[in-house]
Amino acid sequence: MVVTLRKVIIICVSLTVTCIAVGIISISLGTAEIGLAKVLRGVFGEVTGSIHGWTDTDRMIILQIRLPRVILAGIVGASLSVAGAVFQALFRNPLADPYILGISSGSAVGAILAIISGIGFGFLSVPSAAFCGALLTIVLVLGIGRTGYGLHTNTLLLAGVIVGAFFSAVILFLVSMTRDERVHSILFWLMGDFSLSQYSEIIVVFPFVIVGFTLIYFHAHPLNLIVTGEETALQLGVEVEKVKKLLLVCASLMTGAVVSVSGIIGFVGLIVPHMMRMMFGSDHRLLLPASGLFGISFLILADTMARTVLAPVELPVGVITAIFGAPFFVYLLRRKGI
Amino acid sequence: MGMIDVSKVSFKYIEEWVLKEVSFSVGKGEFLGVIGPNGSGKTTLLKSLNKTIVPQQGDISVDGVNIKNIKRRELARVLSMVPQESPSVFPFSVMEMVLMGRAPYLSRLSFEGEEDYEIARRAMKMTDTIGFAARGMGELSGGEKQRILIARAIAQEPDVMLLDEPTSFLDITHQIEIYDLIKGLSSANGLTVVIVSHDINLAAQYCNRILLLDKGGVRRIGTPEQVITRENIEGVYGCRVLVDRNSVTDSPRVTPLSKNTETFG
Repeated sequence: MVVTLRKVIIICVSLTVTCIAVGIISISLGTAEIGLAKVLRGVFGEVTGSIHGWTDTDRMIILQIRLPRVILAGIVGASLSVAGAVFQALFRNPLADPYILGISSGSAVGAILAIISGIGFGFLSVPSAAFCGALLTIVLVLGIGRTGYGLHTNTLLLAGVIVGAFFSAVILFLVSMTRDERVHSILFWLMGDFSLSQYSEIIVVFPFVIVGFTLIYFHAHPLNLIVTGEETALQLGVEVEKVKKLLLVCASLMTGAVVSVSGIIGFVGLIVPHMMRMMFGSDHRLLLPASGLFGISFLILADTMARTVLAPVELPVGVITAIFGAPFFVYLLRRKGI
Repeated sequence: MGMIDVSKVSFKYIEEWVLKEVSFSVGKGEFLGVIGPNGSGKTTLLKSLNKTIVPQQGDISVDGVNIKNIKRRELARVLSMVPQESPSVFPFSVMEMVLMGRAPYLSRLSFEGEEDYEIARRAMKMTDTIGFAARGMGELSGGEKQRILIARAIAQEPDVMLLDEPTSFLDITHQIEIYDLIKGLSSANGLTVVIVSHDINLAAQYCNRILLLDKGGVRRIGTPEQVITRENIEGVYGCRVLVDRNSVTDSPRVTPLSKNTETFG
């Protein structure tokens, strides 16, 4: 019932073991049959240098294609889930998700501009354009949302909706002006896609996620108080404006960073925090790490389905999260009336 | 010097002054009632006392220290607030809610210790809520929720408790229970209480002194007998009233009268 350090550790360790298991299973699945036994034997072989390792093809597929993809999906899943939990708490709104401030549309505009202007898929060019779009959105929304009395959450929500709507119009304009196969790349980006994952992307995104999560976790308990009302939090000793600003910036940057490498993957950041809240309660000292760890498993699983259900055709992972996420959300609504 | 000293405090949200040069003191262990019509600045006054808002003019001291110089966390150890209601979108259990009162004592990245649990349990025993510690806040009635909020305020181990119309959603039994509880804390532990109330008669029964606010200024402060007179109440509230004595407690009693009431006898 009440969260203790012991409970947090036990749950986090179990969820970590789950992520690792899901990751290994995911690596063993795919068009090129490698099999779980071989993956495990290969890992053992790589570590000990024994002869039971992989063939060069296996090593190539596993280390250069599937492993970076699984790691990136995990990082994105964790970030979206944690950012979702933070936005839901700050806005005291169960419908909030990481894209509520319009970050997704902003970074999409950046990505699409990069795709159609033909900067192409060189090293990180689309992701960096997308990240610029996300940054621009964050600055715009926080700028519009700032009033004389600090950041008012309702003003901020409206600012996010308006900026998002504006960028959505720009997206539609750009898509309608594009007539060749680049539309396909754009659509895949808009629905979220991990097929081109590289280690370089992981290296760029990882620091954002680690620094962001650390700063957020330092404010896990104040976030509990903010959920019960900003005035109550003030009266219990929280510097609400400072905490709010910091958490908004952290959650937004984390979202912007991962969206820029994965595209827009819906429902993860909305559903995972709700699932964890139903299982473990609303205390953010447990909810935040649990959401992050479960988000890893959740998105790795979704991406594995995206590349295996209709193999060799690959689906955008956003399609999978939406197809399973929307009905699940209906179930949540009906069951508990969140 | 009192427990709380308010000196020439003025506050405005945008244009109009909501509080105008308000000055008064509250002694240690005193039970002060704040009454006044809607919009007279009662809630704004409470919010100024606990630094939810910062008045543009004037000074407020708690135990001799200007609250401008007290960090929020430290202020929350001295002064606790019971709001009218506490809507929570996401479900917390009753125990979690009461433990939040320990927040001002909790260091970063830590969890409540055995002492915090002991204090929370004691607060729940005092408010007669220990029986539903494991329940969710959403499952409670209005009166139970209010007692939880008081338990949380007690868990802060404050010297001063501010209450903003804590009984406005409650039936008379629960109203009396809440007032008895607060009065008990005040006389047993020397807790200083400032309570905003719409119910003048309850305030008259329980408070040592009453502060009558009128359009953001202090109309009168004194014993219930001094403040609750027909002249003061009619002057501030603007309606006809009958003021007589409660025959059991001998405290002043106000009965509002319709404009059309004929005077008998």
